Amino acid sequence: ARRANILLFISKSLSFSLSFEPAMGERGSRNPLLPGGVSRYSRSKMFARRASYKKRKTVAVAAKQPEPRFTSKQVRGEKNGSTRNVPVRASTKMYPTEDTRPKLKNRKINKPTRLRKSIQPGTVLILLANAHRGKRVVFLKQLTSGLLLVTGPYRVNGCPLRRVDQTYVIATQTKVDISNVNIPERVDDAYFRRQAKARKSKAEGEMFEEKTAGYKASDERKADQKAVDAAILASVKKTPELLWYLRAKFTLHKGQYPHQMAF
Amino acid sequence: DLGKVVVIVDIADGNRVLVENPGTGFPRVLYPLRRLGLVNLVVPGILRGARTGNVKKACEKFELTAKWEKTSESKKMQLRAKRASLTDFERFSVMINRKNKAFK
Repeated sequence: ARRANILLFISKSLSFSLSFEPAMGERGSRNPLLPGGVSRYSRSKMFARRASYKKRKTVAVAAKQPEPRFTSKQVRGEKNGSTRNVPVRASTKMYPTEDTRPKLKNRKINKPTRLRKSIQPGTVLILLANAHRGKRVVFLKQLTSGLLLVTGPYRVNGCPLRRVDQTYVIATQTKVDISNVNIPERVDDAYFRRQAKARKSKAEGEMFEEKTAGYKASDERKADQKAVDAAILASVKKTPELLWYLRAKFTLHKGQYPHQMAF
Repeated sequence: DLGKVVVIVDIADGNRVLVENPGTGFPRVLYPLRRLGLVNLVVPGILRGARTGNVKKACEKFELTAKWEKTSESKKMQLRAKRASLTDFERFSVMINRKNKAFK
């Protein structure tokens, strides 16, 4: 009797504790986290608690017709018989001499390039590399390739509508108002892609002399440049110092250390 | 702690002093003299080893923060901090203004 009482007591205490724990489920996790980073329930217990086996509906899978291994094909020629059984999938002709491991599947996912928080439309950027290094330019938008679309404006510092990589740029805290700027739809990555030079048929005397024509901006580019720059220039010219600022190049002087400077 | 103002309350030995600034919340600690620079201000009414309450009263009566702000040292520190925090455009503007000033 005493033993029975003890058992009753234990079972009672267990049921007592169980009834206190909320089932949660719809509202949240069925598996509360105990102090120490340990889950309250084990994998098998969670399987029982979730009872997703009860909810799962079996979908009738249509029986798959096995693929025919041979098809008959018509053969020409009198003495060849009219048809021939040809395998649908031909066996390989190539058998490698060594066993090689199958290559691992490439699971790379290309994600859109994250734009630095300090770079907003209208931010003045300092270019750090290539032809326009040192110039202060206006950021317009990020293109789908992840590169930044910037403009000098062209009349201010000679930098045209251009793509620039985020990593070769210092973002300053200065902003130009570009709310009135309409960037033409056609200005995208394909717009800036280099055109493959058409190969000329070589004439006798022109074997070694290659006259490379210098870059000439297309009329399309000029028109787009004008359209974009007009609005920017209007807002920049309101503060003459901002205009001079965009004209001037950025340089480091003695005693100036970029890691100690605010931009 | 760089740039903070404290009052010497007691002297421990040749290297350390007991400092405090209850007004700004600087705790009552032993501080090496090497890391301290003297300012030409003396708060009257603090006896050796004075407790925090009395130090606070004396500093308030003397208006320590106001007197410190007036000193040239404090102004220089503020100027240095301002210069370090200038943005690129501000630095450019400063340069333009200096040139204009020189031109006039």
